[in-house]
Amino acid sequence: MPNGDKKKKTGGLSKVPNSKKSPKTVMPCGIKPNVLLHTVNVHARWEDTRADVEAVKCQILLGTAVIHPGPLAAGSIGKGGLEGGAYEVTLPEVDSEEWDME
Amino acid sequence: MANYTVKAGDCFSSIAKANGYYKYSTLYQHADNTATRLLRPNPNMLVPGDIVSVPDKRQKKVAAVLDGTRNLVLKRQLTNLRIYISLIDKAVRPAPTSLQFEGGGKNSAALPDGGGKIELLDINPAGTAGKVEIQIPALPAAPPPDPAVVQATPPNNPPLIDPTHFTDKAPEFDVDIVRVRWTLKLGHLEPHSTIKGVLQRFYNLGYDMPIGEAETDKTQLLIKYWQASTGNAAPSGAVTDVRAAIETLHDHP
Repeated sequence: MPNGDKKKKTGGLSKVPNSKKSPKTVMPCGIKPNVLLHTVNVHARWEDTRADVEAVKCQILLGTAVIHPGPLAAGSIGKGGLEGGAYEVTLPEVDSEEWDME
Repeated sequence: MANYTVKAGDCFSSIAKANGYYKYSTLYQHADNTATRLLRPNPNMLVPGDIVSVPDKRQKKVAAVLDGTRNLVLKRQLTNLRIYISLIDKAVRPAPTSLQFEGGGKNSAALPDGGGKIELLDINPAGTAGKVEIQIPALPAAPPPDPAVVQATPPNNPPLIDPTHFTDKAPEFDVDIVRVRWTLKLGHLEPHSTIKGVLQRFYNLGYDMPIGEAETDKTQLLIKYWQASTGNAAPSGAVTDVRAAIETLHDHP
């Protein structure tokens, strides 16, 4: 038998026919393709000393949902991988008279 | 909202801190405490039994910055402990040397100033006990007698005592510095509008005044003595007649 006519043994497995399409790329759960993701950061200081505020609960909200529960560490909290939206920040354990935006 | 009943040693700073407020004035100026504020114009002087309203914390939200940082600023009022010490002899300036307080605090950098002031910064207002020590410089020694005056003095009967005739050694005392220590009870001073508040002020000014809720024979006697010493020709001994004067002397030296 000429060499060109030799058939490779496949051990019983058949090759995928070239005519079939390859499967879609599998995305990690919860991540939507073609969606721009964002980050939200908060930094808090004391008004008198300008020192970072520690261990005070600070929440990042989207509507009524708490996206990040805090607390502040080294004056900061942050959350990445967020879809676009009207995010808000609050300090639920501090009276509204005692904090403000800078 | 909750109502808190004041006990001895409380002040608005301690009540605010215990309830998670960073500024005593947030609580003191709150509309729910208008009556208490009118009754007690000094937030550091409350009377056991007073009612302080502790309202729920007011909430607010601010917009976050997408792909950026929202900077916040928190306001607070640190509590400081400052003590002024004055002596009746104004020429002697006491030098406070140490102030210890169970609520901690940092010594003010300017201490001691030698003018009778000592201060601790950023104390925990929940504390009430402390100690203060002052040093008073020794009074200058009496000058030696002038020989001319001694000679001019006519002989007395019995004869004039001449210290040089005595050879026994005088005992030595540590008179370079006089140290005085006081125990402090912070937050216990009542306003001068109460009988107890007036009696407490007399006690702080060095009078052996019994401190109670009512006047007694002894309080009247001591107040009469004080009135007479201030030039009052008809001392009454009544607390109501000295209330304003003792408040000025004690609170605004």
